[in-house]
Amino acid sequence: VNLKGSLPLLILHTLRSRTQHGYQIVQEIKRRSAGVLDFKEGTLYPALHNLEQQGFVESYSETENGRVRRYYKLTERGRAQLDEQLAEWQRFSEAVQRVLGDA
Amino acid sequence: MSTSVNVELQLWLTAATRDVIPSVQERVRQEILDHFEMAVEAFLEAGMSADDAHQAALDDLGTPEAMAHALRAVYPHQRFFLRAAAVCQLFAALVIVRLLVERLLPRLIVEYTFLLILAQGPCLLLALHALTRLSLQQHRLERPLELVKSALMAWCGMTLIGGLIEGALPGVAAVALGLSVLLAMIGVVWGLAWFGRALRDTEALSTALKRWLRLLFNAGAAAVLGVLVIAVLNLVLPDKNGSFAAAAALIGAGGIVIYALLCASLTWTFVRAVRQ
Repeated sequence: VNLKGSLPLLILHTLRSRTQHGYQIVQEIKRRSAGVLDFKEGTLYPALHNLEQQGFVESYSETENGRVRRYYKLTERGRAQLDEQLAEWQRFSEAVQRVLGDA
Repeated sequence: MSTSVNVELQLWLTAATRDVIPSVQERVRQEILDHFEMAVEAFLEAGMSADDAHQAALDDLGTPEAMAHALRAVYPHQRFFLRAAAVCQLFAALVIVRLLVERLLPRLIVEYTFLLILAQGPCLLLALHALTRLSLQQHRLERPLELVKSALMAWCGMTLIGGLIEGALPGVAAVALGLSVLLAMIGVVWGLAWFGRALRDTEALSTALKRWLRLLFNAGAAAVLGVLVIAVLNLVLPDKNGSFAAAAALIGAGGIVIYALLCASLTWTFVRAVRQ
């Protein structure tokens, strides 16, 4: 399934419950969607950086076993954005459902 | 990791990050390498051979072109920074050369005014276009900045028309020049207001870059306005060597010098960043 446009929403939602690094975010999205939402993993990082630039997520680095790992967490602004996007998604999904239901 | 996969990953990273500035390259490389190693570990745990695990992790990353495209949408293109700075410098240099020629070799400027207008107009547009594109990568300002560009384009076009018909139809030429100045001023003021608001609101640009852009844009606008003031006074005052015109020329020249210095400094900053 093509994730274009929905990836930021999925990322924000994945980060709602806890701070995660990129690989964990990818795995979480794949696991929750039972593999249906499969995407090229490299493109996650530009999306994360974009969210960070907009102030929706924050990142910090930690060294674990000699490896520098960057973690991402949702900001208050990101939480508000997530709520807004979820509401919008809900409206969109209901509208599509109504159209399909008429068919 | 086998040598071929290692080389392939390095090539992937180079292709994916080639267009972004070095600090971003480093961050992306670090994240992708960490991601890749975790993916390989997971595949190994799932029972894959080492080579298959590396290949599968690499495949999961997608193509470097897709990554490069996605990064370009988030970060300003490093070659674009250089181009924008170079175009700004070219414009500033042309204006300064023209001012110097006006002062030192006034006879030459009469003979080559047409050529100078031809060169200066497109350079101004290119500089504005470069700055517009630079800002559009991070802001949603299409309409106001497009208006500035249109106004300046009209300015250049009408100045050119005015210059062409100056000898034959002086009255029409003066009206064309006056209108062009008015259009450009409206466009610049409108654009400045929007640009200033966007710079305050957005968190998209890094603080340093934001500071540079703000300085550059304000100085550039000051230079453009200075030149416009000169043009207006030259039209209004019959004695072009009067004190008002001289003061306006001084203000314009000051703005242009500041603009040129900032352009040079900005170029140096990016050249140094690219060389790192």
